[in-house]
Amino acid sequence: MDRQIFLCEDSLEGIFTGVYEAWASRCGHGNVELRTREPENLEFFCVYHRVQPDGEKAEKVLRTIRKRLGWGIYGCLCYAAWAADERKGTAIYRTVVDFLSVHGAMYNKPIPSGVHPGGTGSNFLENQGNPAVRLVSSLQRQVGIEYNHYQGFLRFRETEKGILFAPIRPKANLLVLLAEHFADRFPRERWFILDTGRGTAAAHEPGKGFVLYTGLDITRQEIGEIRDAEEDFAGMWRTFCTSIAIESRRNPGLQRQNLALHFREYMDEFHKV
Amino acid sequence: MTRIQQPMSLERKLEILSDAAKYDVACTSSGSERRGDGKGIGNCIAGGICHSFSADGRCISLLKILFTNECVFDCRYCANRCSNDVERASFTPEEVCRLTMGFYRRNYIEGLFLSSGVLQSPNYTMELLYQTVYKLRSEYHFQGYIHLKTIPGAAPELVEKAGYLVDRMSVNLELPTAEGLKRLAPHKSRRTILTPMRQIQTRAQENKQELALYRRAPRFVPAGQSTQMIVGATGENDYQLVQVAQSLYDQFQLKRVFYSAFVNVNQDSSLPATTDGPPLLREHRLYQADWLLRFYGFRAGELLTEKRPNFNVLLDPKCDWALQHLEQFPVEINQADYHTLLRVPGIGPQSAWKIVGARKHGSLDFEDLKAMRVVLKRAQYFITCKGRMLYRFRMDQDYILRNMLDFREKPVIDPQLTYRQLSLFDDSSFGGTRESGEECLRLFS
Repeated sequence: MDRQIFLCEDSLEGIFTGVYEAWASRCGHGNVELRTREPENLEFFCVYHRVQPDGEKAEKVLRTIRKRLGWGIYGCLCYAAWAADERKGTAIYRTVVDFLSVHGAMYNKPIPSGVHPGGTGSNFLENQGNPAVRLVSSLQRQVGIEYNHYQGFLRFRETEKGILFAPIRPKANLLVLLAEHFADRFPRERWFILDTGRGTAAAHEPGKGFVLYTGLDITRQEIGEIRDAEEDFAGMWRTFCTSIAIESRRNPGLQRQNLALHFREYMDEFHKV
Repeated sequence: MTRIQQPMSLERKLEILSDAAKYDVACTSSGSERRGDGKGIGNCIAGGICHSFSADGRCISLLKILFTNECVFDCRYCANRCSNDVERASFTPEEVCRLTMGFYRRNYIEGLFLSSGVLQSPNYTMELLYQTVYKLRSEYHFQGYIHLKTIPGAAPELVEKAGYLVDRMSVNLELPTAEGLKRLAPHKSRRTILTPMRQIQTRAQENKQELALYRRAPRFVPAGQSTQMIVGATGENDYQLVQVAQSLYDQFQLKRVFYSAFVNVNQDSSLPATTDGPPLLREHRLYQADWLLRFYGFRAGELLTEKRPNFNVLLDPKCDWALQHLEQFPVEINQADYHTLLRVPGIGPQSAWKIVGARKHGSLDFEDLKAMRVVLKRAQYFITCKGRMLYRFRMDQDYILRNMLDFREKPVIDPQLTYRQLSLFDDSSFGGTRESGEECLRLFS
């Protein structure tokens, strides 16, 4: 049979709608591939299906995953879906198939009613012998690590109106994760996180939660113009970073290993004013 | 004593007081998990977050400052000792709070690390530190991480009061032996250091009971306590250091013991000169051993002995241990239990869990191990998969050591090496002498 290629939007909704459509197409699990990018060249012996993201269908898949596999694995699959890797769609599809099949019966841990979400099920993809599962778990790991880095390396500047503004350019799509983190951390602040690579943003109002925006086009100059309005905290931070280092232990190689150059684009301590 | 002081800018104070705090190693923000309550500012993540890395490659997670670098103590190794002529500065509680909040809002830091020189008396200083932390928590509603140093000799009431406001407390042990402490830090004693440590431990244990009774009871030092030892200032060997660390973990339930490679900042003649730089490799080996104690179930006595008191320079402590105990290897990946797997060089807690989980679904091979990020470069000599080793290795100390030190992906395999029929009359140990593995190790180290 021809290979069935499902082209989906590169978002949580898009990918899981793709999973739904691919499953429903009954083309045989082995023939199905999910892509999140337009093909550069059409291939032979392939049938292309274009998938429109559909919140309801995606939610059906996600609900099944949460119910039958638990919140831990649900989290893993979401992380993998945010990764910047072309192979993620197919790997997620195969993993879901594997877990919901007879072979994956040992994953099925129905959540008893009344249990608080987040506390049940394995959060670990055990079947590392399966290449798709292995890829999903390595993608999840990559995204997790990058998220952890950005929790620390993201920098806010305070604008004249008292809004905290942070530009980022992560490889994976971390905006939702970061917005959730900072909504918990700064609940009484107005802040705005801008993903300059994807043109998406999250804005937060005190006591109201955050809102996501897409399709923004803000140039580098415009970002550069936004400067800290209040006291010179950025200057004091630079002073601190210099004076805290021990000269006799100087080790720029280690510094670069721990804090790669691509993170430093918007970090105040690495830019002279 | 009269003090002549010019008004100083906040930035200059920050420069002096962060510079004075830089030899404190602890900059971790881990151990406390606390969500924001929606009213104040800040939360804590159990794993901790690194916010930057300084030019020496060390993590910057907390705003690490001294409250003041004025000090009445005269510790030989310390840059802030009273006999040194350095520029002195002091913050006010208000200034520390403003700095912390300004930095925290910009996501520069995860919280505050506050230590201090001893101003007037230990109690006076501790009271100042308490006031600062109190202000930060109650007036500024700061809910981020706070690590507070206990001043040796401060009254227990002050320590207890402060413990309810902060996440982690620490008292520096400074030197592993009492006589070293007496010689280098005449104003500190074992008693003034260990008493608050014991107090914090006991109070934290009681607090656990209180929390079991009432979930919302105030928490006492939720992220536990840590300490720090200077490596290389006095003549202790690694065995003594690791023994001390182990007893601190066992008896005082410390979360971390930090090691600080000695830097002779005062050019003091009674201390070793560090012209070749601080003993960083030694510090690194101690940290490796520390991890083995905390996560791998090793005991200090297994890693080092009275006869072999120092770590091997060429090999990490785990490989070194494995080479000394070849009789326990090779280990079968598909059968060995978790704790045995942990003892294999190249397998850590993560990959050991992965192995144990994955073999429920089918037997594993070297390819699978590679994909699970097991470091085969080291593990290959000590494991079998389905009864086979990766290559034909001799279980021989020198052979493995030689290959391990040779950083090639594929080990040198002796083409002559083949399986041999056992014979009743052959005695392989009969005949020419060969350097034993232990001698070889000694030659290298």
